[in-house]
Amino acid sequence: MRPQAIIFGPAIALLLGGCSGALSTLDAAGPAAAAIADLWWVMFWASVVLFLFVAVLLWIVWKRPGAGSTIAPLRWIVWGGIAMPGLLLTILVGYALLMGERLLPHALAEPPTRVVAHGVMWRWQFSYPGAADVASTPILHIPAGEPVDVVVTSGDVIHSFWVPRLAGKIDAIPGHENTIRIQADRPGVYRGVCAEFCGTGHTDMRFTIEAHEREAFETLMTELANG
Amino acid sequence: MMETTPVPPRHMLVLIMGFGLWSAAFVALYAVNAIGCAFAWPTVVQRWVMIGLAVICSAALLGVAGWSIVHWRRAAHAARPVPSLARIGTFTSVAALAATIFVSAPSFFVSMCM
Repeated sequence: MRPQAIIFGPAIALLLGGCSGALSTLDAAGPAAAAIADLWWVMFWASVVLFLFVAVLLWIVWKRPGAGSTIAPLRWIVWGGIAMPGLLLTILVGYALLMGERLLPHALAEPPTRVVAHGVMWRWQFSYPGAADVASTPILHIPAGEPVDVVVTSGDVIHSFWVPRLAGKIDAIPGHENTIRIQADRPGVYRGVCAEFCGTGHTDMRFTIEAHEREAFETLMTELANG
Repeated sequence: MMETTPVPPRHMLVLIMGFGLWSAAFVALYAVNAIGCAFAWPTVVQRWVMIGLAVICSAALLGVAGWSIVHWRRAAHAARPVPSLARIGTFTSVAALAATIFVSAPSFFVSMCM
């Protein structure tokens, strides 16, 4: 086997292995995560195009020393160093701002289901303000196919609520309420982690979200309320 | 060739003021955004305070960059040498002005709070 294959083969396999799985941001299962994944792909392909462009320029001057020297250095700086990255960055920032606006929990005609995620070292407790009789649960239950607002709080230090396949991260800050809108397109089990280092038990501060059909979710809430 | 004539300290001040004002604008915008959201300011008030800050900082930078350019042009017109520090300060203040406009522009249209 050629040495390049020994080095690059496992490296590519390792990289591609991150494209799916329970905690993959690229294996989106809801609109918020899909928007974030789209933004990642846009930035990825923009960086690929830029990298190839610079690589081609480098290859040309490597093969033909002096190529491009007829163009004034100031022109290279203005067009290659200011105009091109300025235009690309403006487009990328504009796209990111547009995506960011779409991720915010704006008011909806029909208010979404509201749940509370409370982080304490080193576990999450979930409660359901809309179902007052339901005690807190170690698994977060949500209805599938509709937006859910998660109010994230903390009882001690700063934690971060993150379900990579459903949405981005949001900090859990003591004395403060942050809200993130998530949605699971289909019923299923999704994994979440604490994404802010919070002490020796940080890596064990994982949790599970179960998305149910609307009827099954309401039945479950009734069952939980009745103990 | 090394410059032997002393460079007036105002050129160093221009050099520092450029990105000094940019960073002040950046921190001030973040602070007003956080304070406004924490104390539930009316959106229109918060937006106009942020826009006001952005405009004040941009105007101050425009003044610094403008002064620097005018000084350069006058020196060139009078065939006086322009110190390297002054030239660097001019480019830096123009870059800081562009950066300030770029980072504060979203204050005009993005959502203020979650």
